[in-house]
Amino acid sequence: MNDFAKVPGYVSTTEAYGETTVVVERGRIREACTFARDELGFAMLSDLVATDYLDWAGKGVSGYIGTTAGRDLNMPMTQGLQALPEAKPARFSLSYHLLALRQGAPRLRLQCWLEDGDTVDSVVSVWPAADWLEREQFDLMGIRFDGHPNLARLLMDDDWEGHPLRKDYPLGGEPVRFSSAE
Amino acid sequence: MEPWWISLIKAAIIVNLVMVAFAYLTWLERKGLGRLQNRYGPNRAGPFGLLQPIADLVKLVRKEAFSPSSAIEIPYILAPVISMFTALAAFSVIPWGSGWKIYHWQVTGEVVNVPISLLLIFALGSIGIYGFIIGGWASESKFSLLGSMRTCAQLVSYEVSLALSVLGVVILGRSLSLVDIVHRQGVTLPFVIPQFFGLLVFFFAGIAETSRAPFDLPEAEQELVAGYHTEYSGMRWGLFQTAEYINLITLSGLMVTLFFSGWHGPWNLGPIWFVLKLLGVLFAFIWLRATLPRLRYDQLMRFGWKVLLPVATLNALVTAIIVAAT
Amino acid sequence: MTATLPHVGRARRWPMVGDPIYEGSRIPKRVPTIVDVPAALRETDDVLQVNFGPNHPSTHGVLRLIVDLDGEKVVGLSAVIGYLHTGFEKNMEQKTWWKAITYPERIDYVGYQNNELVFVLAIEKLLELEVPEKATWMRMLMCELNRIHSHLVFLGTSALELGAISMFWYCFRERETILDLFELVAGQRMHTRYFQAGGLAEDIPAGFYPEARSFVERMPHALDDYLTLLDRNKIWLERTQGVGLLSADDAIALGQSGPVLRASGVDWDLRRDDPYLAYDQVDFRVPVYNGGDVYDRYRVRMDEMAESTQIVRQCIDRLERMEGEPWIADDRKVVLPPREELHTSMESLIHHFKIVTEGYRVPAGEIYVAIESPRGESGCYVVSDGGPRPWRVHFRAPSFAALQATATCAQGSLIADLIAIVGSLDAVMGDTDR
Repeated sequence: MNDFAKVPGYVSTTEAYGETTVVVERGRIREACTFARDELGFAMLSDLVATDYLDWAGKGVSGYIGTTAGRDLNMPMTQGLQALPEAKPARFSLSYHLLALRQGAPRLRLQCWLEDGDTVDSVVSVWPAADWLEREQFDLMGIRFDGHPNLARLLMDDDWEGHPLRKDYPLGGEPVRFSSAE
Repeated sequence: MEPWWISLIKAAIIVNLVMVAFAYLTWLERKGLGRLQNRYGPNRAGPFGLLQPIADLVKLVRKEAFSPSSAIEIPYILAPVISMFTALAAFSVIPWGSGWKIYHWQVTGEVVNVPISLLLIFALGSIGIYGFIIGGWASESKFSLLGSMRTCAQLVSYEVSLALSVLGVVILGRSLSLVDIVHRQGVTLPFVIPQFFGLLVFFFAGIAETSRAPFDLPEAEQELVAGYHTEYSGMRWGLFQTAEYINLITLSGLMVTLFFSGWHGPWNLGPIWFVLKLLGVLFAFIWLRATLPRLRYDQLMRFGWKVLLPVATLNALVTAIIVAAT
Repeated sequence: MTATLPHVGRARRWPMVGDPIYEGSRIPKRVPTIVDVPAALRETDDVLQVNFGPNHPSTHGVLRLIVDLDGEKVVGLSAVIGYLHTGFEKNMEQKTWWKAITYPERIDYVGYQNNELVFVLAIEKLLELEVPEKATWMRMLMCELNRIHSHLVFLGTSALELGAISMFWYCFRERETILDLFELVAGQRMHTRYFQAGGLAEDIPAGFYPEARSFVERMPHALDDYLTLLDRNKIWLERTQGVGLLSADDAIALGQSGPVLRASGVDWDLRRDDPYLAYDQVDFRVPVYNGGDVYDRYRVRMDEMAESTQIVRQCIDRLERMEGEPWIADDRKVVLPPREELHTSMESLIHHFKIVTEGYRVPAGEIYVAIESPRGESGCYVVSDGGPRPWRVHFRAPSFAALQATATCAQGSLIADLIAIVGSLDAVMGDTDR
């Protein structure tokens, strides 16, 4: 069907809005990245994003604030979706946005899916640029990268609890660090 | 010889004049920089912002002088005092007039006329460096320490060129006394003409000695925050600042004395000529600050040892040979 | 008109298949953001560890560099970021699409128009919305003005950091004119929020073109002034040339983009190579330098300012002929109806109410849009679930990428060089930390 079938761990290809998304197996992401860099010529890692799809296409609630019972006329912005989006294969998606520095600026999105607690191979050895990108996703999304040389929090405090960009991270309220009882 | 109490009165007057000159030098610098940079400079306190230095002084005096808890106390407090003292003392030998007859006392145009006044100025300047070094070291901060290391290295290296650059003047003036040198220039001609290279070396080394841009590495704000006085605040910081500016005034005064024939000038205006020439030199310093980027540490050292020192030495040698030959 | 673009600089050299990509690399080790102190040196007592930042006069905000010094020499370095993390991405998930447009500007608070544009473009792509030509050209004009603005801030601050204090004021003089133009158009000097999904928030005000034109006339002279002050200055050249080296391969491996990449000899500009807006219809050159040092990064930005001025001129020429054309798409489901219709039309009132309270819905999907912001490739990854709020927004921040190169550039430099290098990478901490 396409050039990407040869990518190690190839699962599927989708085209949308002029973009190519190649889904690969989680365990073979480093091989796939090396292949994309060396064979397909995607020399640059533009971006690395993790997305939390917790409660995606849940009970007709848009976003995730609101009642799990669905439409609540007394709450703004809880009107159900007009069409339910397609269900996702796992909770987290991890997208590697690659760029080839050649005519037409072709881009490729390598994507893999993982559940909470799954780990994925680090690609720092493929692109050094992945160092901070992976640390950021670890910090904010809680995805662990195997073989990352220095997987520490990047943006949040070192002793921060939780991963703020997850959908189940509490939105309001903040733990009181110094209460009068202490 | 004048009675001792006249010297004392003159000393008091000079100290106060120099302090006022310092205050208005900061005003002049801020105003001048402002104009060179498309802005107004201070213009709120008084007409043309003329009360700004006084407001600054009041602010500094009233400000709490913090000291880091780990600072070594006695040298930390003493350091600004040393710098301030030497800076003020150095001005005492610079002549600013020909002398006047008031009532029946002959009053000279300088506080004291020391036969080796040139050496005295350099000696006081060298002691003043201790203030900067001790201050940076005693504040127990890494930035201060780096700043005082830089100060130390820079001032010591440039001191050599500075001293050598005036050798030509000393040879031509046949004296180490500034009063004699000025008289000599009145008789012959300003030494800027025969000693032009000496002047250049003196000027560059002088910028470095007073740590002004582009040689302001000891307190390079963008690298070392504020160098050796990072941990100083309130009037202690004010003393350092004062010492620096007074050093600048002294150095400019020295330059006027050595190369631009001091208070000599048409119509025998005495101190007025001295002040005008001083202002001219000070403006050159301010102008440079507005224009030039800062040198890097290694470039600074290279310039001091590989350019200034040979030029100063050559200049002294050539002058000596010519004077000996004629 | 499709212009042929004369390429500046040497011939293209892409890493080809099988090329040894990391040959001659200066990337310190597996963690590219850290330089380690050599063991032999660590054992001596000469190494002084200094914290540069987060509160330091020249760390562009709150960058923290932990620097090991041997005398004046930098022997160890690690960059720490995150002091300005404000959770923009999380916040945007709570806002309706059209309210979220205000956030990207505050991420990169120097290149705000460009960041706003990239988010708006992402929404429009998901909505498959046609944008009127006038809006496209006006966006381009604003973005190029913003690019000049951003480079002026770079030039002013980095010259200030090297001690050329007056440059700061001269640069801000021209920057002020640009800000006045923004104020004229949008009512705000910074963070204009002038781009709406579908076009512009307001029509271009009367009197804008003459003002913009007089700026375009003035800018080349201002650039000459800057060049005279800096480029003929021996001290400036000595401070910047050969400092902070970054090879082309390293730049690509470290994900550099924009002026940093072009200063390392890679001829790459998204405006030309992946045109968005109407960049394929304007004439401009892409400056490329090969030195990979601080000086070349400065030169690239200087040249870009000149080129951007030309683009602005072409935009004005084009826009002046579009008087009276629509400036926003005619799609009542997305675009607010004109104010006067609210008093006469029930449908308009309903649309207005719906858009303001609930917000418009964006079809489900994911998209990554990248544009050439003043700092390089600014990307925006957006996931929509079909509701009125974004499901996930992520920004590919060029400053974030640029700061990863700090350690590589700063190997074997002096403290003073370090300041020059951080300045030349032109990172905006809001962009880095988001």
